[in-house]
Amino acid sequence: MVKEKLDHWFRHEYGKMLSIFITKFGADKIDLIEDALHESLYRAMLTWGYKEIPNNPSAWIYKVASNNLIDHFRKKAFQDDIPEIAEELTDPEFSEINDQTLKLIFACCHPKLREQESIILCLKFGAGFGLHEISRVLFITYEAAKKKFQRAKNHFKSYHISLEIPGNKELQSRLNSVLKVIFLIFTEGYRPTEGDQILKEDLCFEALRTALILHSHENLRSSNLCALIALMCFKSARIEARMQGGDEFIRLRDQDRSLWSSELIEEGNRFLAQAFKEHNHSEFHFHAAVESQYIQADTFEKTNWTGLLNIYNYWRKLTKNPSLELNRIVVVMHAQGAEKAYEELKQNCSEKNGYLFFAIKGEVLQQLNRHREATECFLKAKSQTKNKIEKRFFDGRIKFSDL
Amino acid sequence: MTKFMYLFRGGDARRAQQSPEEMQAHMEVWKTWMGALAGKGQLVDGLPLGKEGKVVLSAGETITDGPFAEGNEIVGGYLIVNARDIGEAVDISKGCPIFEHEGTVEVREIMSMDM
Repeated sequence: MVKEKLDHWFRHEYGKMLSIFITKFGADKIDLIEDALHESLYRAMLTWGYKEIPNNPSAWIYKVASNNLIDHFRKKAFQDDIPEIAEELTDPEFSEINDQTLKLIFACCHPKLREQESIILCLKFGAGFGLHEISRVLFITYEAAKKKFQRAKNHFKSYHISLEIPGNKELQSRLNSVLKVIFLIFTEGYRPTEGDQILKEDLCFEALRTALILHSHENLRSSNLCALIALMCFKSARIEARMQGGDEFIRLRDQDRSLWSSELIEEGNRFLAQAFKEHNHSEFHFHAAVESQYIQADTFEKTNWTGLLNIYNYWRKLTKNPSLELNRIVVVMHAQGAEKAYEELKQNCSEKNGYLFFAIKGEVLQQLNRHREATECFLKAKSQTKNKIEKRFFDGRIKFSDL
Repeated sequence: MTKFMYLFRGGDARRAQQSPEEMQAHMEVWKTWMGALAGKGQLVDGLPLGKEGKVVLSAGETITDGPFAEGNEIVGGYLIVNARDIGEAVDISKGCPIFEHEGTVEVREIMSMDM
C-alpha cells in the first residue's frame, strides 16, 4: 500500500466494510458489526504497526471482522443465521467499493431521518469518523454527539432502511437529499459556524470525495451533482490561500491568488460545463456560476461584477433566500456603487438575517464613509457570530473604521 | 549485548474510544518507533497477544478460558530488544507508543545461556 493511498484508509475502509456487512447481515445487527469492525481495525493497528501491511489489506480486515461476527453468532446460537453465514465466507468483490459506500450513503439520507441525523450517520458510517471527531466538527459536546448518534442509529434500525440504491422514481428525490447533506457537510467544513478554526479541511475533503463517488456511477451523474462538484471544487481551490494567515480570516479580496489550486479550478470548470449541458438549473447551478465568476478573475477588482449581478438577479427570481440577497448586495456595491447597495440592502434584507446582515451593512457603510455606523454594525456582527476567528476579523474591521 | 523482553499492559480503555482515523495515526506511530529500533539493530521481535486464551493447570487436568484479569493486568503484547544493560533497555522503552494510551511496560532481562 503506497503512502498516498494510505491517507484516511482506516476511515474509508470502515465505511466500506460497514456497508458490506449491513447488506449481508441486516441493519438490525449494526451494533455488532460496528464492534467487530472496530476490533478488526484495532488488530490491524497493532499487528501492522509491529510488522508490515499485508498484500491485501481489505481482505485482511474483512476476514478478521467476519470471523469475529460468525463466532459471535455461533455463541449466541442464532440457528437460522448460520446457514446464511456459511455462504458468506467467500470474499466479496472489493471492486464494488464505490457501490457499497454509495448504498450506505443513500440509506443514511433516507427521508424518514432528520437532516442532522443524516449528517451524523454519513460522517460516522460513510466517512468512518469517530465520535470525538464528530463532536469537534459539528461543535457539540462528546456526550451530545454520542446521544444524537445513538438516536440516529436507532431510527436507522427501526425504519428497516434497506441498503439499496433506490429505483428510478425515488432515485432523483433521494439523490437531492444526498446532495443537500453533502453540501451541508462541505459548508460546515468551509466556513465553520463555531469554534476557532478557519476551516475544517477534513469535512470539505470527505464531502468532495463522496460527491465524486456518486459521479463515478453513470445513472447518478445528474447535472445537479455536476454543479455541486463544480461549486465545491472552486471553493476548495481557495483552501490553501485561506489558511495562509495562520488563524486570521483572509477575505477573498485579500487572498494570494497564486495559491489557488489551478487543478481544482480546471476540475471545477469541467464539471461546470457538464452541469450546464442541461437546461434545468438548480440552486447548485447558480451557486457554481457565481463561484466560477469569482475564481476566474485575475484580481478582485477585475471580477466581472456585472456578470455576477446578472446571475444573482436571475437566481433571486427563483428562490427567496436571505443569504442570497445579502451576498448580492456585495455585488451591487461593486457593480453599481455603495449608495445603490445601501438602498437595496434596506429594501431586500433584514436584521433578522443574523450576523451576515450586519457584516455586509458595515462594509457598505464604510464605503459611504459613515464610519461610526459601520463600527456599530461590526460590533453587532461580532456579538452574533460564534466563531472566534470571525470575531477577530470584525475587530479588525472596526479598527479600520476608526482610523 | 543482552536480550530484554518488554511486556505491554493496558491502554485498552483509550483504544476502545479511538476512531478509525486515530487508530491509523497510532499505527503509524508504532511503525515509526519499531522501525527506528530495527534500524539501530535493537529490535529482535515482537507481536501483540490475542485477548482470549487458555489457562492450563495440573498438566491439563484443569483448562479454563482466560486469563480474565483486569485490563491493566493482562499482557497485551511483547517485544524483545537488544541492549547493553537494563538501564539502556529502560531508556529504549521510554519512546514506546503505548504510553500515549496510558499503558505500562515491564522490562525483564531474558536469561542468557552464556556466563
